[in-house]
Amino acid sequence: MRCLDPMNVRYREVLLLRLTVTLAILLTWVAPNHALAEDVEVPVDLQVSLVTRVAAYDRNFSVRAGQRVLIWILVTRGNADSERIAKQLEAAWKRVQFVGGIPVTVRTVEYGEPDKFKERYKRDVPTVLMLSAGFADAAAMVAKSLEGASLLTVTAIPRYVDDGNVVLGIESRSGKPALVVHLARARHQSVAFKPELLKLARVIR
Amino acid sequence: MTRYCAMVLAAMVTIAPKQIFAEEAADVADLLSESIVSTPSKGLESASHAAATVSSISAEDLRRYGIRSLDEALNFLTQSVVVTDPTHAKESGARGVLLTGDYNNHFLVLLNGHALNEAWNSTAYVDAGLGVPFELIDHIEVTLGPGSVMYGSEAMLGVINVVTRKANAYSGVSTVTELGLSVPIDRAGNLAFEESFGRTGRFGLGYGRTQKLFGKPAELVLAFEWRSGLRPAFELGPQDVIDPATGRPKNFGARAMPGRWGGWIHQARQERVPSAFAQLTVGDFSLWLRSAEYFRQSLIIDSTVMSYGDFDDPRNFERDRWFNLDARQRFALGHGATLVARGFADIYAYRWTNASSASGDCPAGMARGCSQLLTSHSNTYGGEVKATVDWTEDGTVVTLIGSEVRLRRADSRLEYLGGSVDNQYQKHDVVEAVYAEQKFVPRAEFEMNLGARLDHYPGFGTALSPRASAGAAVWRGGRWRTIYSTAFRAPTFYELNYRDAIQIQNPHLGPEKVWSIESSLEQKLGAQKLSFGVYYSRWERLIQYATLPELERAQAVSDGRIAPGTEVAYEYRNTASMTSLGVESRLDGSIAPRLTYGVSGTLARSRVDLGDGSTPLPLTVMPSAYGNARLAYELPNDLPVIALATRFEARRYADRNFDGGFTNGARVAPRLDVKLTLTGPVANVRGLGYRIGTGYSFARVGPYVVGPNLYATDGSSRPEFSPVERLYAFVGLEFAPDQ
Repeated sequence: MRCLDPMNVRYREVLLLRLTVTLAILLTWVAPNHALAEDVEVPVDLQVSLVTRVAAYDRNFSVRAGQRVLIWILVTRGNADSERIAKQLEAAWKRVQFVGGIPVTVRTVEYGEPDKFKERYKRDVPTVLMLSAGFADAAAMVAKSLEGASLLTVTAIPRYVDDGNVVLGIESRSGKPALVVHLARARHQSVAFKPELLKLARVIR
Repeated sequence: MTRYCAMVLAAMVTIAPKQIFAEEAADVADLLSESIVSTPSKGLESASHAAATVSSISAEDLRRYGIRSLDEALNFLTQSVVVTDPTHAKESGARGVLLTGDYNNHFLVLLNGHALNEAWNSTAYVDAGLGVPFELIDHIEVTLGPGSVMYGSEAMLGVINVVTRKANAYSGVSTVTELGLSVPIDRAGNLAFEESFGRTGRFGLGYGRTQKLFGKPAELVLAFEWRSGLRPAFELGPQDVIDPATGRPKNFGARAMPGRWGGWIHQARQERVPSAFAQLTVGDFSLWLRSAEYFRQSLIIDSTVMSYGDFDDPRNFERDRWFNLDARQRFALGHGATLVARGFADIYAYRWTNASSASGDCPAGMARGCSQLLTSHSNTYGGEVKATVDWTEDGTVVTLIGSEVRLRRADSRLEYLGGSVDNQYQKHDVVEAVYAEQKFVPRAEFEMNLGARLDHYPGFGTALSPRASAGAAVWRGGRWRTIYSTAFRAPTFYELNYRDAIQIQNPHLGPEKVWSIESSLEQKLGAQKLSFGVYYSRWERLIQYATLPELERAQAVSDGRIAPGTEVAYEYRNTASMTSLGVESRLDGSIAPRLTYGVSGTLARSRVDLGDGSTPLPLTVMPSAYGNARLAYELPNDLPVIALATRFEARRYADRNFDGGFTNGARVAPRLDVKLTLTGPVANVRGLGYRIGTGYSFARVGPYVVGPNLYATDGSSRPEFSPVERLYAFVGLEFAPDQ
């Protein structure tokens, strides 16, 4: 085998390529196995600002909220993306004092057993539930647990809305935030958006 | 300037919301109009909070305003950018600076964050030669000002990032077919309907699909586009020329009279751009490929592409070919940390041919003329790793660090067919870079961003590119931002290695550098958004074609680097500098639910110092005042959207104004272009839409001197300017039943 001079550019190229490949293999090995492609496409602050304003278009919002708006942020424990986004959502919601003049309380809730989740929902009765990332497999179960409940569910993973599991989605379209509303899911969860909002949204009937 | 500002403010007050919408509707619409950008910091953020001035052009605007290529998008829809047509590949400038003949290597052009500027000459195209299927574009982010802090070389004027659509917005099979006509132009700039019309055609085919693969969400996007066409016939000349080598009338080939260049151009006006793109995303892994070709015949003799050659000869052309690959894997590491590893490859080939029947254009012994062929290739292979850490896990203290390695290889060869080979070389190097950025958002009303990037090139050493920005909410709806930013451009393989009979090679060139300071105020009033900014930039060590001093010329002759007897010799040198000071403003919004508008304008004062002791001069080609305005109205039901777009450029100097030797200089009149487009759905056919448009330019000529007499031959010489496509129309159908 021909020896390469360490000062030679060719030697450095080969060395760098080997280093890159080694690094890539190492990263694949050390990264959590459950990492999933579910990063949001809209900055979290913007998501929260939109929800605070869109809520006013839900005819049942005031009745549902009563004396306080309870925001639930649903997180999948052990999913790094889910936890990261949930923490950012919680921080953003803590900067919001009122929605429609009603004081806001925010709580992060870990999603585990569907029955326990349903039980806790009945106990707390949140006004808005924001799903963090990491619900690709569980979104349908969450929706089933909430069947008949009066609740605005929101996500920044539009696939959950397209699949009919969440009422309101916040997606990115042409480099701008955009709304997606699943009308059937909205009806099941007693969410009644005014036509003015539906004109601004992509509506799935 | 005061009057200009007053007019903008008056317009703002006039259309301020007068309870046109309900307040909440305006609030939601206001939020939905906020651009989300990823270019300034390599991560998603609101444009208002970014560490750079960035505007975003949406696919919807591209469609409704009848935009068919990137240059149209930049001219009609964004602020402070101008793209001009030298009749070969188009040239771009921003904020009062355009460096003609640079093949856009002072703008960094990205595709999904991947640099498209190739390695040999850092060339990128901002016209149809972008080589990306146009319907695939989701939006275009245009970042103004120096941007090397994240991307390294070339980002001196700014960064243009073309972002493609994801499969959920491109689902199913879609097609587009578009045809266009443009009217021939005679030598006075008049429309000449009896001559050969320009004809363009565009066909695109796309497919997008989402599904689960290996238990993970997956997306597939495929797109192909074929663009082809003929420019309209142009009449040029006549220009009389004597061949200095023979003392006889110069021979311009079979399509011109001996000694007389000019007439109608019918043959050398073909363009062709096929392009293809494929992207596969599975879970956190994403891979895309792009392949394209840009072929165009050299229309006329000019200062950049064809400084001599036969008239209207289809053998004179340029052709670029690309293949790009980008693969990236994202890792969520927990505790607010994410990591992205990226590998990429870029393969590029360039070919230029030039035929001349004049012996004076050819080496000795080629009395019947010659053909030249320049072939160049470049390959880049590289990797990048970047990590983002959100220390407080609430977005208030976020650190980005990254490193990048590029292995670059370039070769070039200039050949006289049947004769000598010149300027042949093969080079390679390794470029390494590290970068970091720290964001602080201590309160929702205030943010700060500090960043720097260090690039190392084996040729000249290191280049440090820092950036600092601060922004704050100053009152309700008002946001102030100040940015200091820097950039550099590494000398290209072409510049480092070029040599010929009268130019010596300079392998010791250093990087060009620019720094800029800017401050802006953005005010939102419901659905209206006004921004006003001032900027100052200083450019240093610009590479230019410089005359060799007497002693150095004599030395170069004695050691054989240039031919004996050469009286004037040249070299690329880092000698020029430049300043630009200006104001820019932009107003966008809607004044009724169906009526949207946008206006932008820039006033700039730029001066270039050639470093030879002469007085600094204004820049040529680039106007000192320019802007655009647009208005779109959505008619109800299935009736069309009517969209009118205009652009304006003030009177400006042509490229040979200062050095052409023309007694009265070379200046061109102001330019005003208008474009009207109707778009809408075809009734009763789901997914079928149409687009019909026409455009007209009031300008008769462009700011480039053309023809063999680029320089005055005597006191009575008058410059001949590049032609302009003045009137065109197009019609298109698109079918996308699942989108």
